[in-house]
Amino acid sequence: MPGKSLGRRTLLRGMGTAIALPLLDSMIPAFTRAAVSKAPCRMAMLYVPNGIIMDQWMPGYSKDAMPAEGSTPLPEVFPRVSSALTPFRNDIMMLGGLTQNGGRALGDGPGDHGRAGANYLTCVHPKKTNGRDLHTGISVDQVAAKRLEGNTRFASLELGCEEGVQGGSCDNGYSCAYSNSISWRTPSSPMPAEIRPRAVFERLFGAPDDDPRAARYQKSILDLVSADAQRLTSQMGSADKRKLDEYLFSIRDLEKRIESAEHSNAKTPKPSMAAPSSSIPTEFSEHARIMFDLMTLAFQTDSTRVATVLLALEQSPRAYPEIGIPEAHHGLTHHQGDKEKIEKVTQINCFHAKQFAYLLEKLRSTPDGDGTLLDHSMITYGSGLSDGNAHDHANLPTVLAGRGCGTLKPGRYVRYPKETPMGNLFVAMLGRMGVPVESLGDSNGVLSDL
Amino acid sequence: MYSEITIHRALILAAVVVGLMPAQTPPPDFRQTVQPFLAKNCLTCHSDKTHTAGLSLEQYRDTPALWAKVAEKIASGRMPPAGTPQPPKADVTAVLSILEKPTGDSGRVTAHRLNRAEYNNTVRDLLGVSLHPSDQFPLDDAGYGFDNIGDVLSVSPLLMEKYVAAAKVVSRAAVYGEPVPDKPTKLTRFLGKKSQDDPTANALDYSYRGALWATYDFPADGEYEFHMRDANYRPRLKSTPRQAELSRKRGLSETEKAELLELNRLSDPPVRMVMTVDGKQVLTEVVEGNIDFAYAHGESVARVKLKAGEHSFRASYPEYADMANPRDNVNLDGRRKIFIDYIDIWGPYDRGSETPESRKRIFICGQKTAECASKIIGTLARRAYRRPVTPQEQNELTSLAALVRKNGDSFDESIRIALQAMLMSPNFLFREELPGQHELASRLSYFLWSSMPDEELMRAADTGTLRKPEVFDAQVRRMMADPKADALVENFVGQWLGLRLMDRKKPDPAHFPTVDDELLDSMRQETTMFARAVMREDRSVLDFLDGRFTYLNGPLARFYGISGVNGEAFQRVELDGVQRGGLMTQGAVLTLSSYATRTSPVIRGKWVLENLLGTPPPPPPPDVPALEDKNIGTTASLRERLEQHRANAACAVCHKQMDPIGFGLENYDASGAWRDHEGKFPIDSSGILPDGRAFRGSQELKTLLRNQSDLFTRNLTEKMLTYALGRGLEPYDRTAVDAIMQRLKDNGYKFSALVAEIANSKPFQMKKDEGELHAR
Repeated sequence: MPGKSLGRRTLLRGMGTAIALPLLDSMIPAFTRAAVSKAPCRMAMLYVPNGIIMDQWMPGYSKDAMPAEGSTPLPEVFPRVSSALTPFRNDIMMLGGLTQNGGRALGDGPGDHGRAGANYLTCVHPKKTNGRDLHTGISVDQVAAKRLEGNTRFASLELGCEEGVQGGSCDNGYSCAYSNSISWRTPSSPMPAEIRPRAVFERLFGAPDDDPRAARYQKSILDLVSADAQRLTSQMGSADKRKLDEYLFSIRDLEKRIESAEHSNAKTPKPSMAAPSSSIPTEFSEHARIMFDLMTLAFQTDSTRVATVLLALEQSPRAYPEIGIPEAHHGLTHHQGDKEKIEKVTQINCFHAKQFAYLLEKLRSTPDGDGTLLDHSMITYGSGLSDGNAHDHANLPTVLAGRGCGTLKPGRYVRYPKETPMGNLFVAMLGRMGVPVESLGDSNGVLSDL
Repeated sequence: MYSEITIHRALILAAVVVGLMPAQTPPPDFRQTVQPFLAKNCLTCHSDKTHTAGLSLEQYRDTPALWAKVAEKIASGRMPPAGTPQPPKADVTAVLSILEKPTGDSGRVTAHRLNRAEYNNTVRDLLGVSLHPSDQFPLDDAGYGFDNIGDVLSVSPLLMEKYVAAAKVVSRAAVYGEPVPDKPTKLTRFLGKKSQDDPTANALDYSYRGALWATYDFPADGEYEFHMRDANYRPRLKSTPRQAELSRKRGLSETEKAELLELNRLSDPPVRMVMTVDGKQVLTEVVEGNIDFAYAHGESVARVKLKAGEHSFRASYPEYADMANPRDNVNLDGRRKIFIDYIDIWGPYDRGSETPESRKRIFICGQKTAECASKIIGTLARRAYRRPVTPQEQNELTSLAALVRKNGDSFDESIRIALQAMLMSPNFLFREELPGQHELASRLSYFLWSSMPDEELMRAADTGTLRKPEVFDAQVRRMMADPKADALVENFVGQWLGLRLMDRKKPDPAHFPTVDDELLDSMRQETTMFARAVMREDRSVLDFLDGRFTYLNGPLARFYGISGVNGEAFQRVELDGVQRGGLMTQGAVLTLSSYATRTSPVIRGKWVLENLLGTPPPPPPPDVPALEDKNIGTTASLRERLEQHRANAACAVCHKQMDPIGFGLENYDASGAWRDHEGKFPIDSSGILPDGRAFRGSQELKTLLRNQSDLFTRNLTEKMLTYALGRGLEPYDRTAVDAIMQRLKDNGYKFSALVAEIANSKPFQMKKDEGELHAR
């Protein structure tokens, strides 16, 4: 699949930028065997909560009559919410008909929001629990991360723009863990998102006060604490080692990263942006944009190839006073047909989509190998609910952006048969990342016509 | 489920008694430490051959109940019997630390990671450093309503990176002192928001009265300067003819300029500005003049001597606390007339030369020898791990320090590296849920203090006396009296009532023009101080429902319509109980259970059912028909709307539980203020509970709820037990909950009884069954 012809425009742009801005050594991944010109593929999954006002999102949408199956070019004019994406008409695909069945009750009663978050990238119906026995699946980003591990300094990056709920109850018997993370390393171990831009920056490019001298003992310390953990594990019997396993995994992850840094000549790349402020921006768009800048930088420097961005949490109580909306997002989405509330949700949806457009612009204007970062990426944007008012898990709003290293044919609006599992899309994406899998969660095939 | 477990345990016990269990391989630490001890001290009588009292300890068997008994006998000094050679104390401690962890099936055994609050507190109490490293950790996921649930607290690679960074920073601060600039510098600048609904400005809360307040972590003992600037935009409302004349005139002479300034200064009354640190006044100034002065007053500077650590400060205009309408301080253009523009913190000046507290705690012996290092490390590790350290652990840590020395690094650095390892060890980061004395001590201190045990509690565990009822109860009493027990209000009450959500759920300023961040902060303080009083004064927990007192300051009292309370300081206020009393009628709860723009009897009813009575209604079906709230107050009352809604039988089932409670609270608007009307409709705060009992107004409603206090006490017991155990309750916990409730009732519902009964309960003590383990 790779090697498929790139559009002429892309080639031209790629050549132009190659002249203007030759590849920097620091941008060449440490372990890539392939030639410099063959850039690696990246994937990122972006999440917005509480659904999207669908008739303002999908071209030709109506609740009763879905547009016919098949593929058509994207229209010249997009509905209001997706209109921010018009400039990227030729770089994105809009997908219709994809469903997350695992987000539905399936006999477990209420809790659609809690399920939607944890189910979105795992495609596994989360076990209903307040915490005793968390169980969902391994998320698509973590499947990729595990298989691509060692190619980049970070197997994956989990970013977010909203801190989870501290205490109190989340969604009807579902632990807050389910809505606080979309990325799951194991069915019971979430990968929490970093919401502090400064912390992401220092993670990627080092903190100013890192002391190389003291780092000499890092390995001895890790050895010592692993031995502690192993002794603890052996004392615990088989009853519940899960927590210690998570600890040991994280220690090993760290060890591997230290080793690969020692064994390769890969230096921590120099960032092309200044360290962001240590405080978290209060304004959403500023926060989202810094996170997108950092994600772009991580892709550009090949520090990772896999990322997730949780723009806001399911049942987000966030208000958006900067666009004149003092009410909580989640509350508004249960508009019960109230036109004023629908209008406000539409405005929030538009506001989110604008930030996505910012990322697309950023990726499209960042040269990468023989093209741009957007050429070498697959970015999904969507929600685990379509109609948030009705908690609908079918026909999810989904955009797939980028050219996936020439494996995607953007510029189209593709409608799949009703109830096509969302997992089929993720399986298709994993194949394009070079880490094919048979299935993910409840997927039943590979999404075609991409 | 409960009975199955009982049967299962009974079978194991039976097997032990008749000796059917085959010998098994002991875990490594058992083999290394316990078996040599047994051989030396016990096997003379309890070998396979001698079998004294029908007991042989020669072969290892994975039988927790047996080893618990053995541990108890050794701990209490009953074995080895008096008159025989006694083992050294250190050996006993080491053996007990292992024996008190049953190695086999003892029910749920979960390693319980410290959460963010616990991590910060533990570092503080362990080392005496004032850093808050866990503020940078990812959020702790919550389950069962709390963020200290062992099953939900996970470790991710991201968190591990943070642990590494925190261990570095903390160990450096502890050994070398906290990072402090060499010479006094501007450490930070605090800015307030520019307006109430301004999301872009710095994060400090907005006050219509112009106040600015925050807390700051001061890096070292020393003197610090607070530089404050007043912004003075008080326009002239009327001017004297002379003022008007001078204002219009161009090219004023110096004398005329001075005259105008003086006239302007006199035309607005001077305002007193006061700066307090930790509640103590450190500066007062008089700010004169009006718009022509703007920032002309310049900076006011207060120099204060402070200990390292977190201190709160506040700069404000105390007379403004008693403004009838706080928006009187806001100009038509939205700017406040007078406010604190910024506060800079400079320092430290005149640092004391005293050794930091953390060094005193760590370097307990003065020589730079291996023996001294070993002593330092052993002492530190025992406290960091909250239990005796095994010889192996001691050995590994001292070897690490020796390696650092061998590489030519300093003695201090060798200790620091060992400390860094301890802070990353699972022995520090996790607590184990086991029946041992030390685990019990930790469970108790994390319950009451959200922190590690102190030396006194540790000693009780070391000597094996903690399970003696009089010792245990005395410890609980002592710990509850300690200021550290405020953590129980902060963390338990804060999460139980959802107070932490107040930052995110604010009344819409357009609808509630006099509600600013300062007032919301006062509401949160009111509820916190009220809950603390119930705890500190050991009042009845039923006071949570309708206590006839609260804590108010001038602004909040005015907002509530209660007279006689003036000024910024909070004071205790006795209530007549008609309009206010108990949690349900406090601003914090009323705000939390409302929409940003209007009240919702449904949400309020649900809040009470869920948080106070423990009987949450099921959620609504997602797509329910609309409640047209635009017209509420104009064409129909909210009540009428909801009554139409309840005409639908499917809705009625739940709504007849929720709505009446909410109606009872309808005299309080979405910001908690009292009202008699909603739009043009008078408020009808009567209702009928599902069981047919009718009430009028919040006071009668509270009386009805208090009359069925079992619902409330059961809920509170379950919530606090969940928090204390750090796990969700299971069906088999019901007997424990029943027992706690009964004793609570017998003890006049006293708060201390609730805490003590929870600490003494079987699940907390990890007593599995009557008479099986650790008979008290």
